Amino acid sequence: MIAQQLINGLTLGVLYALLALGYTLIFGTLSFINFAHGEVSLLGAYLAWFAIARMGFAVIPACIFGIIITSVVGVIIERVGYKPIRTAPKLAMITVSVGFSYIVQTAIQLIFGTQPHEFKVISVASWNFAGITINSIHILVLIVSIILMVSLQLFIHYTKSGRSIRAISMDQDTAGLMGINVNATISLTFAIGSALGAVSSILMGMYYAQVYPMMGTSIGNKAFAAAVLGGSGSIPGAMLGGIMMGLIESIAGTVLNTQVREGVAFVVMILILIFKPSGILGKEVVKD
Amino acid sequence: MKKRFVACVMTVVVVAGLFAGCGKKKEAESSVSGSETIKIGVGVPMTGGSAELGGRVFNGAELAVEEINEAGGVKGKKIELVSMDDKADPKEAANVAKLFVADKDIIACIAGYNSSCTLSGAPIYNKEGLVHIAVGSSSPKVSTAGDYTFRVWNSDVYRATFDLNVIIDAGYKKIGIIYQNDDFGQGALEVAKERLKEEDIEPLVAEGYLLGETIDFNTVITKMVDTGCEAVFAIADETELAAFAKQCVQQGYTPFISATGTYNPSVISLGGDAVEGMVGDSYFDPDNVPEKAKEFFDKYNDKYSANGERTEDPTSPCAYAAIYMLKAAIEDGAETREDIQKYLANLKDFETVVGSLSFDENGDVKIPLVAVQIKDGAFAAYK
Repeated sequence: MIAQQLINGLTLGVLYALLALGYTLIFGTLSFINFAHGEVSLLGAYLAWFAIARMGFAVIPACIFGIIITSVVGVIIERVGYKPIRTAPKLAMITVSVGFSYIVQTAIQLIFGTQPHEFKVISVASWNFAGITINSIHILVLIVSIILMVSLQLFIHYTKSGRSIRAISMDQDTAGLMGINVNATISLTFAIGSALGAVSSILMGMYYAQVYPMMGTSIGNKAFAAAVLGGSGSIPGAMLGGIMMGLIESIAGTVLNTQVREGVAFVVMILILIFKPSGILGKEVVKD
Repeated sequence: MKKRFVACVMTVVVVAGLFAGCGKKKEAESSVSGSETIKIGVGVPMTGGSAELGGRVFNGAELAVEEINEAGGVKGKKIELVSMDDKADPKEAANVAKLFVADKDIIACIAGYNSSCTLSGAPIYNKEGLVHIAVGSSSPKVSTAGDYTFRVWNSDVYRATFDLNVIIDAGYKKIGIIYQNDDFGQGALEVAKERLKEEDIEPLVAEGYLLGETIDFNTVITKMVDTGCEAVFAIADETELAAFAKQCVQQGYTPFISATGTYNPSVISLGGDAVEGMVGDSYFDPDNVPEKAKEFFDKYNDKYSANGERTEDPTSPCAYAAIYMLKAAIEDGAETREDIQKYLANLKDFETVVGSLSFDENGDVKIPLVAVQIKDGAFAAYK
């Protein structure tokens, strides 16, 4: 039973991790928590569902369609909502992002309806090894997530654009003076963050076989907690935080029960922040 | 300077608003003959976790109102629905209740879908004396919520026991339970545990989940597999029910499932193959729907079916029936909110699309149930 619960937890964990990466990337470049991230990400699952169920797309083109549009929406939100107030106190940006989270959620309800939809994408085959059931969705989720996380790490460390993102997260003004196009790089960050979020929500839609309007909020909150837990702004931190969060939830669900597990994630987040305010892999920030 | 001017204007507006509020209070109590239209409040979730079923309540009510108005209204007056969204949130439901009782033109309400929302609004409706008819709330606590609280829906003392009996009668001894952790789920859970005690059965797993929060049932399913549950009693509505069934299949687990929320077309559209064989309750045998109900569902589907799909659900006909009850009250001469309460409290053998209904001393009805099962993607009588 424990092995099965670990598989459950790990699958959930990598999904949280993908979503948490969006929070952490944006936190890294703009030092604010984008509360609209969960809802924007959910758009990816809805668009993919819409393309399959209503427009007759095949699965892979539908997912690509969902990811691209979500990415564009993320960038537009940044341009329209965050760019004009980039120099204002961070509280203004946080408030605007909360506003966007409601706008996107309401838009989803208006466009796609308030009822849940079945997200039937791939047929499920399952295999049983010594009492542990693993199915095709588990494998798909794990493989896609690991590929994306590794690619993101390579991108951030070994490409010019990746270096620009890192430079901006260290010091935006100096990076600008060194000839880095700050606006383009921030847009790129939003594009990548939203695209990863879209992948996470599409996989989640497949895993739970449905999409519904509240999904972005409840799962987004946990991914946010995972990003903080791992260390805001730290990419490996978000991955670690997400996976830890999934495993903790699964273990709490096993040892205690399902209703407790929804809250346990946040208890752990608070405890870690008390003892290490910057998160597990976060760097201590010294204000000058 | 400019700011000060704005502040002055705002102060004037606020003060004027206060006086306007005072003025309204002095107006005459609402009465049918004193107003141009008859206003009925509808306070159900239109967004949030129960939006889909709340929407069905509203549609059922709207359909009845349109019919009545087309036929010339009640006593020559048109009925007008005033809709508010409680978002399946008890805090919002209390706000909705306050707004409804404050609007003196509203003569009665269809309010409360989720048991928790009905119960949070009930003290306000009862204090101010405005009838609210709940459609969809099954908690036993709703029975004793007050004289102005009525419901056109079965209490779980009857419904949950009925659904659980299907499992017990089939001879299952190893039973797991999942329940929505709110007034609805806890009420039904209590009823279920008592019924199981009579049979000397202890549920092997009994776990709650949070409406609108929980989507992952994998841990509880693994526990059910591990403890060897052969049957699952689910106190849940469509979204969670379908998610649970799908995740069971993903883990290769196929228990016998009986659920309170089975009889809802969305369970099939969301759950697909995973919900095959799931049992639940309905008001009529799906293979032999009474003429009256058939007529209702034809009208409902003609008007609301978005993609031409014909669906039948238990919620919309109850809301439809509730509006006709209010119409009967007004035709009988009910003038005030109090008159409506008196009429409903004594309502006996009222013919509706879901059968002949009478309110008992708690404002409850009993709508006879039959067991149904999902077979080949449709509802069929369970044998």
